[in-house]
Amino acid sequence: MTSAADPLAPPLLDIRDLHVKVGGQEVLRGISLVVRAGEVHAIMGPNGSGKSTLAHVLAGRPGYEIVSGSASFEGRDLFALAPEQRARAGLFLGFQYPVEIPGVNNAYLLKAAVNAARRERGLAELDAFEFLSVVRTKIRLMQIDESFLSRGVNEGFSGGEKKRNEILQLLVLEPKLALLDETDSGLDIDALKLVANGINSLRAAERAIVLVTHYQRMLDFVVPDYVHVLARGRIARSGDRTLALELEKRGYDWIGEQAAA
Amino acid sequence: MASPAATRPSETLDRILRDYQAVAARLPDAAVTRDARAHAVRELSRYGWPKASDEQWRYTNLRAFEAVPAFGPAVPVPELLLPELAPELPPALPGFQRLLYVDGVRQLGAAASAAATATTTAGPDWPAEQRFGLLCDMFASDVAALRIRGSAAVEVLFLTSAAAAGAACYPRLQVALEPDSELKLVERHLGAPPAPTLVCANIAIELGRGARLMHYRLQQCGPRTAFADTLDARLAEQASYSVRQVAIGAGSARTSAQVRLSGRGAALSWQAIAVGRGQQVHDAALKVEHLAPDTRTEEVFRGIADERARIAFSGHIHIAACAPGSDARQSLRGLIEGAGAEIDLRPRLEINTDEVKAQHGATTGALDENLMFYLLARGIDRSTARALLKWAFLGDVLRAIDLREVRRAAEQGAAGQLPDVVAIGALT
Amino acid sequence: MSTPDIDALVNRSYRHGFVTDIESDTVPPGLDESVVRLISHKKHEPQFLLDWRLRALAHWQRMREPHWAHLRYQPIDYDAISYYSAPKQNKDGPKSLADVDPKLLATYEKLGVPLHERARLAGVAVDAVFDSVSVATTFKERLSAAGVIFCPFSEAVQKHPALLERYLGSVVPYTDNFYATLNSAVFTDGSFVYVPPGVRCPMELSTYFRINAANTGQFERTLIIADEGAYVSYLEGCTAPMRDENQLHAAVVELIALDDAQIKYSTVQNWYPGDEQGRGGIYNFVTKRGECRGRNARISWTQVETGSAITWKYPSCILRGENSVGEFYSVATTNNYQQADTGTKMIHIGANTRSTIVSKGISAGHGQNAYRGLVKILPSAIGARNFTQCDSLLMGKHSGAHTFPYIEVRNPTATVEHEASTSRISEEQLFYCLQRGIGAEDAVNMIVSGFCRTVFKELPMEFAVEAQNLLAVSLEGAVG
Repeated sequence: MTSAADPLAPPLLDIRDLHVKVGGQEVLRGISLVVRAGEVHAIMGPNGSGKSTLAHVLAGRPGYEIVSGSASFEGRDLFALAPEQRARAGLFLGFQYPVEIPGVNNAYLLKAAVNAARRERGLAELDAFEFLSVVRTKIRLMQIDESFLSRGVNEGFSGGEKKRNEILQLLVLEPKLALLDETDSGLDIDALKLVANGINSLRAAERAIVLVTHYQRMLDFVVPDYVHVLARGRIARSGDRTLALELEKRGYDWIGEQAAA
Repeated sequence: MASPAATRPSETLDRILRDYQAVAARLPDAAVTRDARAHAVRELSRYGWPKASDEQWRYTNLRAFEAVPAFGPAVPVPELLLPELAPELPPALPGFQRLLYVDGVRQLGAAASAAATATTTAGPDWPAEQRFGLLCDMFASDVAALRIRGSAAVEVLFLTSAAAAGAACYPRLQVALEPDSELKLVERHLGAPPAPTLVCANIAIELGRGARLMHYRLQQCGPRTAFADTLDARLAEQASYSVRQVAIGAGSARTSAQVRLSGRGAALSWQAIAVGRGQQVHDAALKVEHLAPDTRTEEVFRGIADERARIAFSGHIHIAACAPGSDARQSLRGLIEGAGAEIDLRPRLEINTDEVKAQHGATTGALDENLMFYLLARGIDRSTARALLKWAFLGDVLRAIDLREVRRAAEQGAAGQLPDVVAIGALT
Repeated sequence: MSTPDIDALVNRSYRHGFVTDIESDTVPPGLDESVVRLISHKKHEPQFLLDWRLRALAHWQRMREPHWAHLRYQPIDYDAISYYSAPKQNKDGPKSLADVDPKLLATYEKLGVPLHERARLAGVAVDAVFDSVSVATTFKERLSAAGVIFCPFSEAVQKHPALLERYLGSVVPYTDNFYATLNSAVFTDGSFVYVPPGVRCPMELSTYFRINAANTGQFERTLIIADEGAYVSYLEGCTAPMRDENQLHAAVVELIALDDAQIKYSTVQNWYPGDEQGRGGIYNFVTKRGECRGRNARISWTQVETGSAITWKYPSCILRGENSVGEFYSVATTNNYQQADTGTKMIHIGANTRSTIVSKGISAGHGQNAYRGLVKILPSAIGARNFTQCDSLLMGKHSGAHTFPYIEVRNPTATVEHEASTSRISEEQLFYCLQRGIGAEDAVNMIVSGFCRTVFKELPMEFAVEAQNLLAVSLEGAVG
């Protein structure tokens, strides 16, 4: 293992035997997963395997029924927290399909989000100047034009721009745990590298990253410590990076057969 | 609002006619000719006072209008009192000539306008759904008449003073643009009289060939005002008329507008916001007639009903058989926030020829859950998220107000109507 | 550009235009209390029904004809209408198909009504209404084995008075509107369906209506009750013979769905629309309303309206039960001088009630098509949802399409969406098809059936085919 994490450290995220229903259908059927600070995990799996559901349930999206099991974040019961409390506690969800909010500009959203998190930690809020100086460096890193700050949230953005914007928010908010839901989908190779750079710049001993992805190509750029394969709502296999490479060669059917067996 | 008297429609009409008899002799011919006033009396008697069972009036809070203590115009404020009103006036708009009307009467103390030359014209023949226009034809004491050649920018302020409380004001605005002329026109209704008061405005607009009018309309009357505005606009060939309307004031309001696209290629862009809270009732009806080929309409409405407010918008677009190549779009959206609130939308298309493009969309509902979750997932608290999303909801129209000062005034007004919206400066 | 002279392309005469020569037992024209008493007497009705009719009559005499619909027509002379007519027959009525007047059977043959053979094969029980009296009913046994009551209204009056007294007028009260009130006073017959709790009706129930005797108004009354957990699909189809005078039709249909019950009501309406100049044709003023009275109840209206000179109907749903669902799928075509004013009302009362409205209007020639709809969400309807799609297809400079939706929302948790679009079949499109070797009519049919697909797929299979054909016939000669 290449993990920078201390195996004896208390887990950042601890999911135990999680069962979740959507519209009466059981979509997660007993997920257990431990993520420690400093680790990068990749959760892979075919469409409909429950990857995105897992990410959304952890972030607190309404519409999911938690049947049984638990999830804790730094020892706190995640499911007892409202979505905004989870976010302020340091859990970040990168959306697969970021919504457009015309009329609310990016700068405002970012500033409101940063200051909500700072208040939570007992820190003074950033004023406009401090905020701008923080954002400027990140904007450059993501190669985003500064005029974008005054545009509506994701308004009229291309798919790639939306994803870059998600990573920009990630960089500005510096969460403890980043759950990135299919952040690689719909990106050309240049954009993918850019996004991966952004993510890598955030790798740190006190932070964990969970990449939810269908394809392994993202993992060429953000190398994970652990790879988990989801099939039919369960973790069918866990391993290291080589598991992802094997999947690329053999496809998901192979896992599906094993999971069914 | 005073407790509405339980009057029958005919009683209200009787009261109006009685009040008219009492003041008719002192109404100036210069504002509306005697014949035109008599014509209005006949028309109103023929139509009668509207009833809630009339299709065109079903969403109007008629009782608020019936509860007006007197229909006769308020006694004009003496010039000496004007300085006292000054604090109530918004800062001047740079580059605009200001015309000030207090209780429906021109204040000459304000800067005189070179562009404005008073003419006396009768109002249009108001159809039944615009019959409130007849009240202004009957009772108006003055008129703001603008005839524009070339290019101009004019701000017309209609202020209702405390002295008008319990009576009525009849703002009257007539605008004619000569061919290829251009006008930026700001029309604002202000003032919060301390007792039930009627403000009943007429606006008549004629755009010559190729003329362009940007019309910014802000209604910010006080809560004890029953406000009615009746608008008639006629567009010649290639004329273009853009309206940005923000209705946030008054206890009850009714807009009755009709726009006729009479010349080939004439275009209307009507974008309106109404925000209501408390017991406010805002009802707006806009009828657009496509009467010539290649005419265009773009209609946008955004309404928010908070607490127990009722917001209604009826957008009626009629495309005549003689108007092939017409293009009409309607987008009506209502956001219903209060448990006792109501949104009534009537998108309406009448199409009498096949070579047209026409579409409408109308939605009503609560805030979008997906948007809400996105903001929550970024750690923003619920009430801020709500405020942001309400703001965003109005954004389409607010951003279409291209005059910074007017937009700012509209935003501040709208923010005052939204309980959880604060810190507007940072949003825009 | 050379476009086909499409007026010349078709104008086929009305296929179902003929009059069957049967002696009718007809009362003199005009309406007063004695006529109502006569109708009730002839039908051996219980007192409660006579009283109800008389109350309706008294109410009607104080009412005025509505004038708000987007329609223009010659005034109807209600004193010139005969309110009762029945074909002469054996005193005891036909016991089987063999007892039915052969001329009547021949009429159905010409209309293609599959009473004898195809009905059986298709598993359809046909309760055929000839003028105002039912003359034949089939498949009674299979239905009664399932406990389903499906009979002429007049029979239900005799055999199931308790059900009638309980449900008649409970959705459409006799005071409801001018035409429904008139119907309540003078209706002569119609259909009655009761599906008991938990029963899934084993076959599609179908009634073919037909207007025959000259100057005879048709006042059908249909009442369908699906008890808890029951399911029924009901088909109504109409054709009419050619006439010079306009004929009035003012039916009332009431549907009641209790807890978990579902009613699917499909109509193909193909009455005589009048000739190319707009002469003749049926005036069709119908009141159709369903009430989802129980939880999880569902009522679907599907209609294909190609006939009649004037159509005025708004099949509606009152969604009272929690989680109940209302649906309205409609295709209405108007050609020549036809006018249609149709739509629906969805009244959301219960929590989590949902409704869907899909309306497709096709206007050709001088045809005028209006959609009028009301979606009303009451304060009690927490979480209610409505989606409305309202599309118009215009064919011709003089055609008209009008939409008059009303959206009234009084609950902040409700979501209502309305979309409307207008399109046309252009000369360019037609030319393109012609240039590719596709005939103008085929091209029109292609475009139109694509336009209507979402509605047709809601129809039972055998009806969908018929509807498609009717549409093609009704739009013949429409392009130009």
